[in-house]
Amino acid sequence: MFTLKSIADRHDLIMYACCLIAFIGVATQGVGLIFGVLFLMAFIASIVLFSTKRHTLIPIQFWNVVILLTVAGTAGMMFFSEESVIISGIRFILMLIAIKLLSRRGAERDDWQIYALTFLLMAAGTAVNEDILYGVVFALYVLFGTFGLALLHMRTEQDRTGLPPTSAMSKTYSRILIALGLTVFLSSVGIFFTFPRVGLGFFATKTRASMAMTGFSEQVELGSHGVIRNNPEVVMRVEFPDNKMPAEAVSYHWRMMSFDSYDGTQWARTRPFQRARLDTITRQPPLFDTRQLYAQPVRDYLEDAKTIRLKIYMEPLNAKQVPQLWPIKSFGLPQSIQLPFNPNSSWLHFDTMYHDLYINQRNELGVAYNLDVASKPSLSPLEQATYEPMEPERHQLFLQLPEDMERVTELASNLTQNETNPYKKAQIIERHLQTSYAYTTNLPPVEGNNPVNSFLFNTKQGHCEFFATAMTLMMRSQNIPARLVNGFLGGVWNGSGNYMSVRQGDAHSWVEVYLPEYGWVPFDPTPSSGTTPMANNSITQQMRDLYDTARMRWMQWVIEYNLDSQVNALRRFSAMLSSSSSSSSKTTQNKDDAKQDEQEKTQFPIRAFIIFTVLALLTLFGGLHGRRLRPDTSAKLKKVIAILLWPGLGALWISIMQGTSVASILIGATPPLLAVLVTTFAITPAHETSSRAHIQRIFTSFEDAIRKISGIQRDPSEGASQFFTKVANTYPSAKTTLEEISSIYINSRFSPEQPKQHDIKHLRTLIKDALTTIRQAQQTKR
Amino acid sequence: MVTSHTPAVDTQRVITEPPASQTTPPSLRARFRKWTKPPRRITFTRAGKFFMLLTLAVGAGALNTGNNLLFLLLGMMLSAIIASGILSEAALRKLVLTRRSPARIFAKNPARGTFTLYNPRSYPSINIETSEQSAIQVEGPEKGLRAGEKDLPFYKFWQPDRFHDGAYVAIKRIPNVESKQELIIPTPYHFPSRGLYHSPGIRLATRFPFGIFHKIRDIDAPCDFLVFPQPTDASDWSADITANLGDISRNKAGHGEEYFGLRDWRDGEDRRNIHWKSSAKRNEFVVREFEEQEQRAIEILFMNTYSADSKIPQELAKKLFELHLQKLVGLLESLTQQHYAIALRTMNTATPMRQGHAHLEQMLTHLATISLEEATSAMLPASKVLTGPQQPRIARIAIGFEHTLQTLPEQTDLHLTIANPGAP
Repeated sequence: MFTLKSIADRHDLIMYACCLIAFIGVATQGVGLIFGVLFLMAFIASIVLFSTKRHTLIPIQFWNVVILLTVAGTAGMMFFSEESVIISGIRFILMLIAIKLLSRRGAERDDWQIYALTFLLMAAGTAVNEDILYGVVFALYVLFGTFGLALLHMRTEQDRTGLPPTSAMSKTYSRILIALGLTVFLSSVGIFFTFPRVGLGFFATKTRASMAMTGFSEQVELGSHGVIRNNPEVVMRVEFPDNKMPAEAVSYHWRMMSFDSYDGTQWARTRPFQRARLDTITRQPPLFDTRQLYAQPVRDYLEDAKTIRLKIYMEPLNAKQVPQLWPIKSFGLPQSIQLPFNPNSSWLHFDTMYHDLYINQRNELGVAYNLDVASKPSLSPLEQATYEPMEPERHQLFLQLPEDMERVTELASNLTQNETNPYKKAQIIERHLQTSYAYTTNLPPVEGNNPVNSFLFNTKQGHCEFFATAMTLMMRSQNIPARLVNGFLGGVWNGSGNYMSVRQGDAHSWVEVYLPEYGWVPFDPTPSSGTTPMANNSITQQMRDLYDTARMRWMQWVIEYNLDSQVNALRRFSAMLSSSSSSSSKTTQNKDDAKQDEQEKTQFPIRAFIIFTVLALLTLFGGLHGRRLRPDTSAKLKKVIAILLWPGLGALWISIMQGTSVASILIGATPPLLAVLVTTFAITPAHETSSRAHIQRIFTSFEDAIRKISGIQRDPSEGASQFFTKVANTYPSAKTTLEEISSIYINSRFSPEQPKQHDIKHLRTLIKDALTTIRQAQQTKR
Repeated sequence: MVTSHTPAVDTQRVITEPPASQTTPPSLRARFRKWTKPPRRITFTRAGKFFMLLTLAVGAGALNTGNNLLFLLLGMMLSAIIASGILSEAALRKLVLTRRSPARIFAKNPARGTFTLYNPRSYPSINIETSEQSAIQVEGPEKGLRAGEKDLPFYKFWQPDRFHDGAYVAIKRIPNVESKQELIIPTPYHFPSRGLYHSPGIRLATRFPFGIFHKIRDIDAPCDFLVFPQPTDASDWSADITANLGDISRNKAGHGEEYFGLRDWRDGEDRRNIHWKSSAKRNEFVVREFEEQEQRAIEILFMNTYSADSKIPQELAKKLFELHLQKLVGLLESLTQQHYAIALRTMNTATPMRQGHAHLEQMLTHLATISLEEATSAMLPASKVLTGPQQPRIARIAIGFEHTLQTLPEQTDLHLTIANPGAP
């Protein structure tokens, strides 16, 4: 079995770990349970066979035949089954790894092949697994992979130099390898972020599996949307200014898609998409004015209303629309780069008929966009409004009613018979539905083939879609245009990520009623029991929030990182460096100051220069401090202090200059931390060499000092003790000290045991004393 | 400090051709090459080539699909390459390598040289190869021959260096050199054939940390290596010589084995010397005396000429010449061990009659670069090479092709003919 002392054994262990890590990366992504278990069995069998040295029992020819069969089998599977090519490929690589592990003879070539196969598995995994799990797997793979490759190289060199294969690995080498693994990991992350994303994307495929969710297709069966109230899968995340969620946000109706036609069982859209031509407020980044979409009173309201900018990050859904609110002043994309072939480019459009916000994107990535939202305008003036006659030809679409609606019409007429004001009519119907019907997701069986009739007159319970459908039809029966809207309601605050998550369970349906002069106004007839957010268990929710935050960052920064992200990051960085600090620009009021500000921008960025010079100095001092502490193995506390001190100072410096933020702390602390860590640990030679070398350095410096003071030089042929005697003969006053120095030096330098720290210290003190005596003697001589 | 070995220049050398590298200024091409030579060379190992291919494939995939996870993998590959570059540089830089070339090198026989590797830095170096750069024969039968690994131009980075040790003149692998450590590394030198070789310097290389690149740091330390011919067994020649020309009688009493005469026993002489049988006959004590014997000195005339008129094809002649040269070296070694005084004359060089190993080395120095030359009228006639009339104390042996030996006057005691051993 593995003793773990020899390099060969350690390498084997790491290599098996690499195989396992790469397997975990793809295991949950459609490989199949039986196949996964078979692979694991082969994996364990290979370890047992190799460690008990029975691996040579099966001849290589047998494995060659097995490989041929595997190739044939995979080709057959690809032709005759409907399995995806990627999954077939992954299974094929897994089989090859298993065969290689079982047939492994321990030669360098075998092991390189195994590493290459695990790498291919990792590469294939990128096509099927974009989860954060892949990130964890990747980090482990980098660490173990670099360690494994370095050990493989070491083992090969050992064979070449003729050292016995059981030779142990030195501590120095282990440390170098750990540092190497970490460095490669950090630098791969660095390269990842800096490598320009200028892909042409000819073969761009969908990079993420979109979330399957009903309710957002051209035709939606009644009762299919908003029925799952306990699905915690996050659909979108919303960031608010200053990370503060306004109180009204819990009742935000995130409007995705509206429908015009109802045939008695399903909702549908009958008109194609018609793009609204919108003015842009700014071009870079593009920001579109949506006020023109609203009626005049809302437009007037938006003119003066205070808006907040919501940054929305939408997970890929199987929908062409993205959520929006009512009313919004403008919307836009945070990105500004639109390459013609950029696979990640996207654009937002408004539909003139249904007022849905469309996204056009070639592949199914998440979407980030901004909405400038105002609070809902007060609707009380509508109560007094006198309405112009309807424009039936324009809104005929939203007055459509299916057959067999007599009872519904009758109910609506009865409820609103005393009202002429359409807004009041809508309010009455909304209130009636809210109070007289019960909310349930456990739908009772529909009586007859008219679910709305069944809901309104028999079962009297249903979920949001029934309420919304009933109200829409009731409004239409009163000749008031109305439409069903599917979307999401509210969301929950994620404390760890400082954003609001909207989950699949928040799916909701409501109604938009067309009120002349005011346009389309939302009404929600669902009782409050159906609109309260789903219940949370605090601990599991916290865990879930943490996971979701990590996942969001992973998606934002890894999976959907693109040229825009790079440009934005660069802009943010250059903004940080720019000499016009935020404080001075805030106080700049008049044009002269602004001009001066502009001039400052074009000049040499003195401020940035000072900031980074000081940071570089702190890094340098940190490195030097670490280097000084390095040989001193007993100074653990001092090392800890150095590790805390220099990054702390760096973070403090940047925070003072740029204001306290996570970014400032990171930028300030990282360079000194790396410098201290690298000099203190990563390149530390083994204790045995460092302290002995230390003794040697002390001796060399003593030699130099003596040469400078008195001109006495050590002959190359002269031993250390002879040299000390020579010096002692010239300066008899220092004789005893020199003798002691000589004995300590010779003992520490040449004894098989390692020099002790206190010996080194004592030697230093003695040499100091001796040099003082010699200097005095030299002065008296003169 | 670099120790370099320069072959001793023989004062008696008739024709001397100094090594081209020492006198002629380097050609423009050579100077340009030296000037443009990068300080480090990198070649891929076999695994490294696949590594690069995989990196390119992942890079192409990442750029085409825009799949960020592929970019992540690409980042890993590129980091590994960068780390390889930095760490291999860290392993090599500032190391001080010096060499002490072997004292005496025979072709095809390992000769012990020494590398000294010092690590002046505060961290260790791992997996270092110390080697001699490939040497070129500047004088000798195969002028221009390259001994050692063929140097690849730096831009041919895709071609792997062959790493088997046999390809190098001298190579040794060191698992690690600790900080401030000085290693004395005995290293066998191998040269394929005799001649004067010029090596531009020594070399440090490493494949640390992953074994995907072979990074080479060349150190300029020009050095000439004089490689003596490989000695082969010459017991038949040696036996011929001792049998025919071994010792000579000096016509006086001494410590030989041959009977010289009888004389009267003198007082005080050891009685054990008395020859009792003769004493009884003569009725007085007589002592039997032996003739003094002396080892003859040997003058070897190695005829390194060959006539184009002879029936032996030139290639075969050269081959035979080499074989007999090797045998001659074996003979010289054997004669030196038997304390013969030897003088070696070739058609263009001559050594004085001397004994001992220092003299052997002098003779070998001549033989290291001797070449078979076509007999021309400009060349000295063989008889002129001989120093004078035949003397009884000196055995003259001529070694050469039959047709060249025939041109010799009757002044030699023994002819050893260069003949094709394979011929019937």
